[in-house]
Amino acid sequence: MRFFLIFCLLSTAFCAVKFAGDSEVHDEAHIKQHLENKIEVEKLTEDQQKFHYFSMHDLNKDNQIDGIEIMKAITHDHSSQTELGHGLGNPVTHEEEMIGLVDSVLHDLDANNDGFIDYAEYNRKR
Amino acid sequence: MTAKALAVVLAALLGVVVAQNNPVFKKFEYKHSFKAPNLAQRDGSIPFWLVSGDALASGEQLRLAPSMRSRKGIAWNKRAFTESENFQIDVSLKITGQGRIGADGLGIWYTSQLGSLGPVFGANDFWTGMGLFLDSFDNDGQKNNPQVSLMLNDGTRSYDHHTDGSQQILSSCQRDFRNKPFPVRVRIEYMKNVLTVHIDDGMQQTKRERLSIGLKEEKSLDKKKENMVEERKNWIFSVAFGGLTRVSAATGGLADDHDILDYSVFSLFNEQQKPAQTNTQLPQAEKQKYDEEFERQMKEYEAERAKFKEQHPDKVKEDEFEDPNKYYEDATARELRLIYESQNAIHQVMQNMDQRLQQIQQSQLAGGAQIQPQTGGQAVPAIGGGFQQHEKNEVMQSLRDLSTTIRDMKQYVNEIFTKTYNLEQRWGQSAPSGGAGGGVDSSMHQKVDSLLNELRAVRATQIQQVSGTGAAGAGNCPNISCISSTLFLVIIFMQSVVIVVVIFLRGRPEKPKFY
Repeated sequence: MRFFLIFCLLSTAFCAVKFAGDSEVHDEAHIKQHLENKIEVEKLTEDQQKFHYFSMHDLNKDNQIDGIEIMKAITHDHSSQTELGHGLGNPVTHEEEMIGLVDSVLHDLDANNDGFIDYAEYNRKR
Repeated sequence: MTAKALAVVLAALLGVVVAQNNPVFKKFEYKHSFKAPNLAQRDGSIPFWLVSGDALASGEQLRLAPSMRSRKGIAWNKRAFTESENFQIDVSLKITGQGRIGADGLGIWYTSQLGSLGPVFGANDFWTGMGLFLDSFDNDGQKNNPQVSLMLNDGTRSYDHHTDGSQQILSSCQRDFRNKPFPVRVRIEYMKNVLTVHIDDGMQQTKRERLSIGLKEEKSLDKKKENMVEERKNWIFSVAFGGLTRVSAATGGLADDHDILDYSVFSLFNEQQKPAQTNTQLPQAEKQKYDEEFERQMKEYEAERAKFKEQHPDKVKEDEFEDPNKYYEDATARELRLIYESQNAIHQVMQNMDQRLQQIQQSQLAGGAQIQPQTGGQAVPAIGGGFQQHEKNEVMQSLRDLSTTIRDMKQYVNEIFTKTYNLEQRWGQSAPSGGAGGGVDSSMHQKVDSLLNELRAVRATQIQQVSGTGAAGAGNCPNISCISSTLFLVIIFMQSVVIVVVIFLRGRPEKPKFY
C-alpha cells in the first residue's frame, strides 16, 4: 500500500505537464498535432510557436486563457483517437494537486490577477 | 457570454468597471466554473463538480435534463465559494423542445448545503439560500409563463408548484427563454446585498472575436433588477458567504432539453477588498505592443487557414467551435444544413460529370473524322494523325467484348426480372387467401384429410372383419383360418405316399400269379 502511494505520487509528479513552460511552448511536434488539417506547417518560427501554443489552448477563442483552459491543457493528451473521447481531458484524480498546478501557473502569468491570462501577460514571461 | 466576460475583464484590465457607482474588480474563479468546449472529461465528469440524476455532461454541454418525460438532473460545485462575499454568475443556457410549451424548468442555486435530487426543478426542497428559477410551464394558469423568478428560503418552506410559487417568490418577470437561436445568457450579480439579474433574449450570437473595450453590450442586455427587501439583506448576506452554487433541471409530462454551455463564476471586489496584485501591472505601451502582435499573428493564421482550405478542401474538418452558427444551431437548422450540404455535394458531382461529358464529346468530335462514331463511347482521345489500322481493330474488339458482357448482364437482369416477376405473381395470387404458405397448406390439408378418412374407413372394415371371424367362427372362411400351408403340404405328401404304396402293393401280388 505504501509503495503504491509513493508510486502514485511519483508518477503524478513526473507526468505533471506544466503549462507554458519553455519545453511545452517550443514542442513543435505537439503544436503540429493541433494544427493538423488546419494549416500547412513545415517550420514554425519562434513567434509562431508562441502564438500557436497560446491559440491552441484558448479553447473558446476569447483570446485569453482561464484556469479551466489551463487545466484542460494539462489533462489533455493525444492517445485517444476515437471520435467520442477526442479532445476531452483525462479525469482529474487529485484535485488539490491540480489546483496547485493551475494556481502556480496563474500566479506566474496572471499579472493583474483577474483569473485570465491574455496574450500580453503570456508573452511577458517568455 | 465569454465575450461578455471578456469585455468585463478587458475593462478590468484598464482598471475599473463602473457598476453601481463603485469600482469593482472581478476575478474569474475556475474552481467554480465549467465551460464548453471539452466541458466534460473523458469519464463524463466535470472537475470540481458532481453530476447526478439524469444530468449528462459531454464535450459541448451539460445536459441537466433530456427531453424525455419526468427526468431530473442536478450538478453542484464541490467547493464552497469562499473567495469573496460578492459574486457574479454568468450562465449560458439553452432550453429547447419540440412543443409550443415545455416543462418543467431550470434552477440556478446558491445554497448553504450540498444539493440532492428533489422536486423543485430537479433539486431538493427546504433549501437554505436562494434559487433562481426559469419556469417553463404554467402550473397556476395565470398565463405568465415562461417566467423567471427568484425565491429565498431559510430551510423551512416547501416550494408550492401548483401556484408556481407565486406567494413565495420575491419577484418574477415573464420572459420567453425557450427555443432561441442562440444561448440565453443569464447574469446573476450579488454585490453589497443587492442581487441583480440580467437576462438576454438569445437573439444575438455571442461575439467570439476580440472585443473593443466597452460596456455597450450591457445595454443590449435586458435588465431586470430585483432588489431584495430591506429585512432580507443581512440574512442573505450571512447565507451567501461560503455557499455552494449548483444548477438543476427537471422535465414533467412535457419535456425540454435543458443544457448549460457555460457556467462562469466571478468573485467581485470593491476598492478596499481588492486582493493584492501578485505582479506589477503591465505598462500600457507594452500591452499595446503585444496586442498588436497577437492581432498580426491571428491574421496570418487565418490567411494560412484560408489558403489551406483552398488547397485541401477534403482534409479540412470544419472546426465546430470556430463556426458559431454551427455550434449554436438547433435540430431543425442542423437538418436543413445537412440537406443543403448533401445537395451541394450532388451538385458538385453533377458538374463534374457534365465536364467529363463535354470532354468526351470534344474528343469524339476530334476523332470523328477518322473513326466510327460509336467509339466515342470509349472516350479515346484522338491523337495526332488519327488511328492506325491495328488500333482500330483493337478498339473494335474491345467494343465487341464490352457489348457481349453488357448483353450477358442484360440477360442476367432479365432473368432476375422474370424470377422476381414470377415470385411477385405467386405472392399476388396467394395473397388474398392469406399468403402462399397458407394456400399450399389448405390444399394439402384437404388431401391429408381425405386420406385420413379413407384410412379410417379401411381400418374400420378390417376391425369388423377381424371381430367377425372371432364371433362367427368358421362361418365365413374356416379353411383359411384352420389350415396352414405346411400342414397342407404334409397331407398331400402323405396322400401321395399312400397312393404310391397302394399302387406298389397292388402290383406285387399280381407278379407271383404269373410265375
